[in-house]
Amino acid sequence: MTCRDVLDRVEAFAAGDQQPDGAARAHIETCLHCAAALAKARRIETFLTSWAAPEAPPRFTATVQNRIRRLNWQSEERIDRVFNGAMVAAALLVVVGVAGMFNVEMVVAGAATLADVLALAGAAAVEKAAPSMATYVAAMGLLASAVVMWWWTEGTFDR
Amino acid sequence: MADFDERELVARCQRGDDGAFAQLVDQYKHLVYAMIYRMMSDRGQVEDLAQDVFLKVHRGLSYFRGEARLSTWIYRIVANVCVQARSGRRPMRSSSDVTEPASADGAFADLELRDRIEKAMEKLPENYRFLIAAHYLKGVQYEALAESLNIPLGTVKTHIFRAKRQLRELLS
Repeated sequence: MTCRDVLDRVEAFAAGDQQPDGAARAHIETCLHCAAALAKARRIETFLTSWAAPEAPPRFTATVQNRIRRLNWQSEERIDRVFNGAMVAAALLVVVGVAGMFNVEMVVAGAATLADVLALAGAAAVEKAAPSMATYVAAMGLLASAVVMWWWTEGTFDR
Repeated sequence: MADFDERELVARCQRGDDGAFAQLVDQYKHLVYAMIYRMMSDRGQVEDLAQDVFLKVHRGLSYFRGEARLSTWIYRIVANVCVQARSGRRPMRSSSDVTEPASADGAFADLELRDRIEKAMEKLPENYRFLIAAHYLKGVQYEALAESLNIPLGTVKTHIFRAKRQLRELLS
């Protein structure tokens, strides 16, 4: 029996998980180092088994609940701030829209300008397409006949 | 607390029953407080950290499916909260603080021993410290500790054994 053999089992002896056999007991009786280690392990074991820890303070549960309420309130407040921001933006849009509606002259003038632009663009497109008008008409006729044939065949095979 | 009661309590908490949550806090507060008290050398932090544990429990309850025991889940939160709190600051004591003082007869006075063991606890790895802090509390079982740290039962026993050996060596 060596010191290493005993020291490996000192905690188990101290906790009562193992009992020292004859050889271990004899070694401990004659080896000051191992005897001191066992004594120290026993003191540690005694301390740990009787280690006092204070209880939570009496108002602990109420304090936890207050913190939860405060956190919930803060989170609701954040949501409220986002909602309020969105409402302010929406209100601004409505104000701008209403102001636009009341300023009819500006709206009519804007619409007239847009109509002029579209008319000019349409006239230019017609002028450009006029020389090839016969080709466009023929192509449209072909496309229409193709669509009619497709519709007729679909109807025939579905029956 | 019986498993059925615990499930019922959790279900009530999940439905937003404040009274049920208060009951849950009352059920575990002393255990959580004691674990943190033993794990943290900075005693001024204990109450705040214990409250943090229950805030995390409250926030996480909606995701708690009951696959692990409630106690196991709470122990895991305690371990995480303490690890986070400890990683956020420098160790408070140097290793020289745990060496044995020169006393005439070499005997430990109770207070002195407590102080030295608590200082030595600071030097243990996080897992060991948690196991030593929790194992010696009444009602905490090996199985729950194994589940909370996600390690086999045998490893829990080995770690506790090694932790005590390290404590002894630190005190030598």
